[in-house]
Amino acid sequence: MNRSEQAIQFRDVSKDFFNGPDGKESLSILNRLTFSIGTGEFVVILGPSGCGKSTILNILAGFERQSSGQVTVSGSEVGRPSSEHGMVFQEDSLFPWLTVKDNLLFGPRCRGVKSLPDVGAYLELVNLPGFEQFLPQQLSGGMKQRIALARLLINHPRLLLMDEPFGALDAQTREDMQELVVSVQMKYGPTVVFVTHDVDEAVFLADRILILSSRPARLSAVIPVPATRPRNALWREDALFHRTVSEVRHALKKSM
Amino acid sequence: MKTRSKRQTFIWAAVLPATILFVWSAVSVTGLVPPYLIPAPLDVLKTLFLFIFGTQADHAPYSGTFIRHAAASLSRVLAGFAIATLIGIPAGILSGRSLRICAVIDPFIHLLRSVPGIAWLPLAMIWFGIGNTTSLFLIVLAAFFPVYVSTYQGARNISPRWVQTAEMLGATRRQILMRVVLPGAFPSIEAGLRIALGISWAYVVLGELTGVNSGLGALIMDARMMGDVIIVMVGIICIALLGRISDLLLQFLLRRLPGHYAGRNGGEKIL
Repeated sequence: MNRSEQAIQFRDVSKDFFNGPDGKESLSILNRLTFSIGTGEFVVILGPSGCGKSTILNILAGFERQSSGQVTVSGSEVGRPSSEHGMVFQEDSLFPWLTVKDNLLFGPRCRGVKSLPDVGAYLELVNLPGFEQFLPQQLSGGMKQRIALARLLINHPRLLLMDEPFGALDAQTREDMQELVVSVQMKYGPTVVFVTHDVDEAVFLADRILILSSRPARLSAVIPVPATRPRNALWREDALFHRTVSEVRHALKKSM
Repeated sequence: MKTRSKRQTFIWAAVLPATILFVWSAVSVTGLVPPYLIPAPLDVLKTLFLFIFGTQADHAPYSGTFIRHAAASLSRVLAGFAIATLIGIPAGILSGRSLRICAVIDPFIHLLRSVPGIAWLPLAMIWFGIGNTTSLFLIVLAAFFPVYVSTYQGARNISPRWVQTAEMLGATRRQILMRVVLPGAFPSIEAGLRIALGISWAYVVLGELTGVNSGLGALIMDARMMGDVIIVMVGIICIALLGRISDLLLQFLLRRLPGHYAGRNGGEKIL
């Protein structure tokens, strides 16, 4: 991979949190983490819970800053949060006082986009056509996550960050959502960084899986997923899928 | 189902007033308490009717003057409540979201808040004399605090997720205040506005007791000096009814604002 293709670069990135009465007790979250992700690549980050996976996404989104080291996206340092880097959270993040349509148009309106995008097309994309006038409280958890995804896609982010977005959903809805994410990435081609602790989910989605050690997080293994795109539900039945899953499980166990 | 429970609520709500009315009637019919202290309910009702619907031709001293008094009180309440809202909401939002603004204004506001509103009355009379301005000053001062405190609380408790979400969708700081914090804090603001409106009614009466010409408070004070206990009671009933109606009206209006949904999780989930 040559330099110009690298969408994301982490170089020697550490993150410490300070607390305690005098702010001197420190907790090291990330320890000299180095990796890079290519443009349009789908990378899943796996690791034991509490290892700092979400911190990586928060730094990429601009919500937090690293304590040391360098993080670049498309060659420049990450600054304030922007509509270029969209994040889907695990919990519901829709604005409950806005209809589905107004939630989707929140970004374009804030940025003063001249001609507002066609909400219907994005709702169709996430398989919820006709839901423009619904309020979030009327929707199920899976539907809310679809709307949250559509609300990002309408801004055409170059980087899609997903922080265990389907962790709170039931198994069937989860699989539907995974297939949706695959098709959305095919269509828009953003670089995706997806955090999960579900190994099946990781193997189904990823081009490459980064496995982190427990805190402070270091990179303990990188596993490429040997499957081409587009993928569909059949990939879950593939023998290669199951072999990769057990390989990843093994690597994950070693990292703890 | 719904209509039945509504009817039941209504019946339960009527129990206490009906009991009071019954005891009141019994007391005045038996002559236990003389009518110049507690007049007969029917006399009060008759006077109330004349007060609202009567004309000068009825030769009752206050007949037909309801509109004038009610309009005077209502306009003071509305003006004072509106000013308190227009200052209280922005102050609460800014103080709830900015540590620096909070550090400057919040301690001082809470210092002022601990002064009972009635203690301002003498000062207000020295500054503004007797009249409209004194009433208005008292209402604004008293109604400001609940609006400010509840808005501050709502703004401070805004989910950080909502703010992060707005940032990554491209909102500026100002847009976050107007489009996320304000509607997000709405359930809390709503509660503060209702309290403030009730307080406005209390303080309009206080302001009017000091000797203005019109207003329900002025009416009560005037009737007391004339020894007309019936009109005093009529005035109290009118204040109670207007206060309640304005609260219902406020709730009706607030329900129509989009932020009303900010505090509602669950409810009529359909899917």
